[in-house]
Amino acid sequence: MFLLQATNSSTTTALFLGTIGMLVLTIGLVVFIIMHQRRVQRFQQKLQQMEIEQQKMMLNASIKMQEEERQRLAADLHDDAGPLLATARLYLNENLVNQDKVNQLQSIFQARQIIDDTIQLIRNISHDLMPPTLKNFGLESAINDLFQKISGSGTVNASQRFHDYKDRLKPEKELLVFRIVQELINNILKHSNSSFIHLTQNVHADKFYLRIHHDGRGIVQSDFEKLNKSNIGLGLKNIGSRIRLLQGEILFEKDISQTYYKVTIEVPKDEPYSS
Amino acid sequence: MYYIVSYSYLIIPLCFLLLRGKLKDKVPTVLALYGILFCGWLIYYKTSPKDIRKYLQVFYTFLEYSFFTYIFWLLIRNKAVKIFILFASFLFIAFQIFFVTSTTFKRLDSIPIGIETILLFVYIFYFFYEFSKQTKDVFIYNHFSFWIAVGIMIYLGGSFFFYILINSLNQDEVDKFGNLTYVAEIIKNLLFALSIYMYKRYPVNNIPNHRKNIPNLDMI
Repeated sequence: MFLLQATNSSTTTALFLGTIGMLVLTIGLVVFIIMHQRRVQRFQQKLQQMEIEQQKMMLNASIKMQEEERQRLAADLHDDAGPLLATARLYLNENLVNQDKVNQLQSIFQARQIIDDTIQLIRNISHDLMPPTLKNFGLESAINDLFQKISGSGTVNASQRFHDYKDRLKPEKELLVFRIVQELINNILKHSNSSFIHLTQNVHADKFYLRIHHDGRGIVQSDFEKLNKSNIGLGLKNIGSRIRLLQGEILFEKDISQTYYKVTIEVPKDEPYSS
Repeated sequence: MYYIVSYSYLIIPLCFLLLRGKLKDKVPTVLALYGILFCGWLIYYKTSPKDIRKYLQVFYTFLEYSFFTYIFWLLIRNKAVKIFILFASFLFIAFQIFFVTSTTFKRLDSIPIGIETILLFVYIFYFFYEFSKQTKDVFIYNHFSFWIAVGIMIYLGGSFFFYILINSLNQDEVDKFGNLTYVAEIIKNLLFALSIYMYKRYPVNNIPNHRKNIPNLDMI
């Protein structure tokens, strides 16, 4: 009887303690999950704050870049086009003063030469602003042109392959992607000391991909993010803001073989654009 | 107390009916169905002939496991875990059939209930893990599924040891501790109703589930 009572009492104790234990475990787990999530959210908020800061920096960089571009344009027009046109004006003025036919013809000829040079200069400025190949024939041709020019210099072997570009991106998007590629190529030429650059394009699902390989000195994602947050690396900041505009992603990494650096750009495709 | 618990199940379909039209997900409907079915079942159980009660109990365990598991099946996104749930459920049902045909028990089918509880705890732990991994911008307690999981955990936690040890308790102890499980059961029903309310208040947040495949971009 005593044994039976003892057994029964230990069963109820086990039941009581077990139930309390289970409930404590449940409450503990719930509290832990809530606390953990709050911590994660606080971290997330911090990240968002940092992202806002970075956006501000990018905006500043983009404004600065725009100002620099305007200054360059103003300088080109003022220093090159301005004097050329003034000289042409002088020659034409001389025509009014000097009645000698031979001199008149000579000055008209000189003025025409100068006007031709000015036209070429303005065309160059305009091409710099918006490459005509990009406008007329699309991204593939514009990149092809750019790469041919680089290869033509003889120091770097640049090649490109577009796997699937039947459906062109919208012109605004093409221009942004082209500017990113230009900036990346400029950086590679300036800093990497590489002997070849290769660009590949492909599409998958609703995404457009570009990847640039090169065999010089490069950067990885952490470097890109670090430079993006610092006060230097204006070009990279511009790449960042253009990627943001495109709602895309960019990834800097080193190839598995550790021989090449690669930069992958991912951009959402929109409805097909026909040129 | 037994009838209070039985009728407390009706809070769930009541809440569902009050918020009808705004609930597009399957889970609130499953919860409402669960409330109606279990209320009816509990009321019927009291008036049922004693010789079929054993089967009713086993069927209750099966039904309860099926409902809860189906809810987690809907909430969990990982395909491998879903396959595991299917596999574990198949084994569990096979074990239940074996148990009911080969074992006699005094009051309740304690062992299947124990296994049911452990399996459901595993699903809940995984669900919480997946949820906290995928959703970082929504407070977990603003999501309806959190309250379902908490309700099930309180219910299972409050009744696990009681159901495991029920066959070795005397009637007084069963009555005394039974009330504790009733309280846990009522809390669970209230939390289920709350989850329907939360569903309406904070519409389901789509948990992003993407991982992209980068196509061929090799140097060829």
